Formats: sequence, structure tokens, C-alpha cells
Amino acid sequence: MSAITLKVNGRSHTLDLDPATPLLYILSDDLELRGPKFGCGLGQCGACTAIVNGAAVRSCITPVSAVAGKEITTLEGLGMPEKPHPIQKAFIDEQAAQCGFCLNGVILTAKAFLDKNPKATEAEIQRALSNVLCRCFTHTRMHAAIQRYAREVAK
Amino acid sequence: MTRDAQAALDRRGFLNSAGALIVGFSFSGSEARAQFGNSAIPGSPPNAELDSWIAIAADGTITAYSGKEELGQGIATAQQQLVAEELSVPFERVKLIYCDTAFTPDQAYTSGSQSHPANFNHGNLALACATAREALLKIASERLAIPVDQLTAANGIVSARADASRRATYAELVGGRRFQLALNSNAKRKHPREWTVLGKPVGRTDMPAMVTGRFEYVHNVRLPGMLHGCVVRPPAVGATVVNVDESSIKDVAGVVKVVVRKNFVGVVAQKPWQAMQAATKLKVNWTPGTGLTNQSEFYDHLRTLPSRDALLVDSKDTAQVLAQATTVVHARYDHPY
Repeated sequence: MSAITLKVNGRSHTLDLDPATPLLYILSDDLELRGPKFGCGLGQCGACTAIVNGAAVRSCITPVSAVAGKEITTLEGLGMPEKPHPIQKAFIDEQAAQCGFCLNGVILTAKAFLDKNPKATEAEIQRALSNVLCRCFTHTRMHAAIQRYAREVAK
Repeated sequence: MTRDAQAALDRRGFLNSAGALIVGFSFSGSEARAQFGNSAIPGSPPNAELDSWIAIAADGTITAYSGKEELGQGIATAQQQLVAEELSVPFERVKLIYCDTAFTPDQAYTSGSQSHPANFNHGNLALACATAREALLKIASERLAIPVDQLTAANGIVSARADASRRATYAELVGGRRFQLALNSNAKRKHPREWTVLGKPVGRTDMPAMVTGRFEYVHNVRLPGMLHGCVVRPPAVGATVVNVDESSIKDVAGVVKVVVRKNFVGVVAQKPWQAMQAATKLKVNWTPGTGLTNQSEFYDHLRTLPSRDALLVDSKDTAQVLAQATTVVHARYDHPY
């Protein structure tokens, strides 16, 4: 166990942790955040995604020691139900979810990609999202939501 | 609505303060069951009674109770529309509580696209709404001394068709009290021509919480004192436990207990990751097991396993009909498990 300081959604937390623990479990169980989700536990589906220093990472296979002191953003950190972030609002406007379990990975992956590539083409966005899985098959609406947000970003 | 502990407290507070008495139902389990028909959860509100489905609070808020679960198919929002429509109140004035065994009728499983048939086709929730609307009109008729056929309901208010100033709100008519009525199978639903809420697009009520990471999924549920368990699986079919070395996980933090029951092995820990770590590291000696059956003998093997027959339809005359048949065909059908 060792003391590790995490900066999550703008707040600092110092926790006594096994440094090998994957970030996902710290976010879910110690900080009680509901955005990052356990999907496969193997870094393959994207449900556990968090943004770390601007990059989308798979928190289920990222040791917490690797993100100490870095800026971590979860889905909660973007906006609130009463005041959603523009990308979250785009998903509401397009009603782009069925069960919603994958939304965390979809929204954060799209956000991190468009932050760095604000003029990305539709094909580039699709490629960036190609390894985030949605089992309900809501891809068409989710891409519409991301395109809607991308048009705002590009303005 | 999310159904975490805070919401449960809020609900109880709401129910108490609003006086909509939903607790204290009898323990009757003999009501007509939903389509899958196993026994009802003891203590769940009786399906045949209106108060199990609809409560009108002192402030006019409608609370509806449903035993069909939201799984991303939008049924929670659709049911809220149904209740708003049939009770002639704005969509926002309806609160829906679903699949809370302390509060909602037991409607068995949510599966097979049966939620709409169960709750929209003049059964269960829809029938409760129709029963409630007729009851409200009847109570208003007595209160206002106007025949029911000269009354109309809109926006949570019953008023005289001829004189809108002669009126009573739902809150005034039954707010905070129980209906104490059985569901009435003759209660009339609204004709689709009259619909103003059903059939009109409305945003999913759970969407804002889902896109902002506030929605409570099952794995987010945390109760006071809750522990987390993980099963230790055998390496082969039919493998049995020889021994379990509990000392092999003495260094894993948070372990509360190793559970061994015959050939079931599991670990319990304070947190999920600790349980997963302990399950991975726990040393268990297993017998080699029996291995898998040859594919060519697979169906014969299945037939030797313990099983339970389920009779879906019994016409009670099969022997008689077969005895009179010109030709009897014998066949066996194997279906992958």
C-alpha cells in the first residue's frame, strides 16, 4: 500500500492504495463514480474509459500508479444532468442510447479525439470510435450525436 | 428515476408526507400472474388492486408502480406516457417507480418484448389507469352533483363540460388517500383518437443521467456493510475440491472470508478488486474432472442429466386422439442447449 494523489474531475484525492490496482476500481469503488464501467476487464470494449491528460485510456488495465498526479476526467466531470456538456447534450438531442452502458466510452473517446482533431472528417471520427463496443447496436444514433457535436466544435 | 438508497429514502419521505399509503398491503399471493407465472414475491402489492398501481398525492402528483424493468428499451418513459395519457395529466406530473419489490406489483420477468402487451393492452397498468380515471369521474360526479357523462377530465382536473368553473382537482378528489378499489376489467381506455401524450415523441427520462454518468446500474448499487464476492471456478468439468489453501491469500488486502461448500469455492472481500485478486490467487487443488462428452454422444448425454419436465399445454385428450389417428408419427427433436 502507498499514498497516491489523484486529480479527478478537478479535485485532488490522496488515497492509501495498492499501486497495482487498476484505475477503474479506484474510480468506481473508492471515489464512487458511476461513469467508468466494468465491461470486459481486458481493455477491449471501452466501457471503462477515462480521459487522462487529454487522452482516452482504458482504466481497467491502467495501474493507478501510472496516473498519479495527472488530470483525470470521467463522464461526471463533463457536465451534470441539469447542465450537460455540449457533447452530452448532443447525445440527449439525438436520443443516442439504449441501455447506455457503453456511453461512457463512446462519449469520452469522441471528446478526447475531437479535442485534438476538431476538424476531423466523418470517416476519421468513425475510425477513432471503431474499437468502442456497443452491444445494443446504437451506433447510427451515436455517430449522429458525435457529428452534431463535431459541427459545433468546428464552428 | 434512479433507484439508489437516497432515492429510496426520498420515496418513503414523499409517500409519508403525501399520505399516499402504499405500505401495509396484505400478503396475498393468489392474484393473476403475469405471462410467465411463477409464484409472486411475498409481500408485493396485490396486482388486482388499484392502489398497487396508482397513488395520487395531496399535491396532485401521480405515482405509478410497475413491475416491468427499464433495460434500455424505453419502457419506463413509455409507461409514464401511458399513465399521463389515461389519467389526463401532464407527462411531468407522473412519477414512475418500477421493480422495487417493496413497492411495486410483481409482474414476473421483463423479457420477450412482453412489457407493452402486459401493461398497455388493457391489462395491469393500463387497466389501473382506466379504473382510476373512472373512479375520479365518479367521485367528482358525486361531489359536483353533475352526471358523469357531463364531466370531462384534463390536466388533472375534472370539470363540467358545460361550465368549466364547476370543477375539482384530482388532489381535491382523492389526494393523499387510497382508492380502495379492485381493477375493473370493464373500465374504458381512451380511444387513440383522443391521445395527446401517447404516440407523440418524448425524450427518454433516463437519458440525462445516463449521458452524465449519474445513472445507477446494478454494479453501482452500494448498501451499508456490503461485501463483494467472487467465485473460484474449477479448471475442468466435473472437477471436485481436494483441498483449499487459505494461507495462499493471507497477503491479499481486504479478504473477509473463503467460502467452501462441497465443490463450490468462493471468496468474499471488502471491495470488488480485492475479491477478484483473492479468487485468482487462492490455491485450490481440484481433481482432474470428467472432461467433456464426445460431440457425437452429446444429446444422449444431455438426456442422462437431471432434468425437470415442463408441460406447457395439456389438452387432456392426447391418448384418445392418438388412438383414433390414421397415422401416428414418432419423432425426436434435439435442440442445442
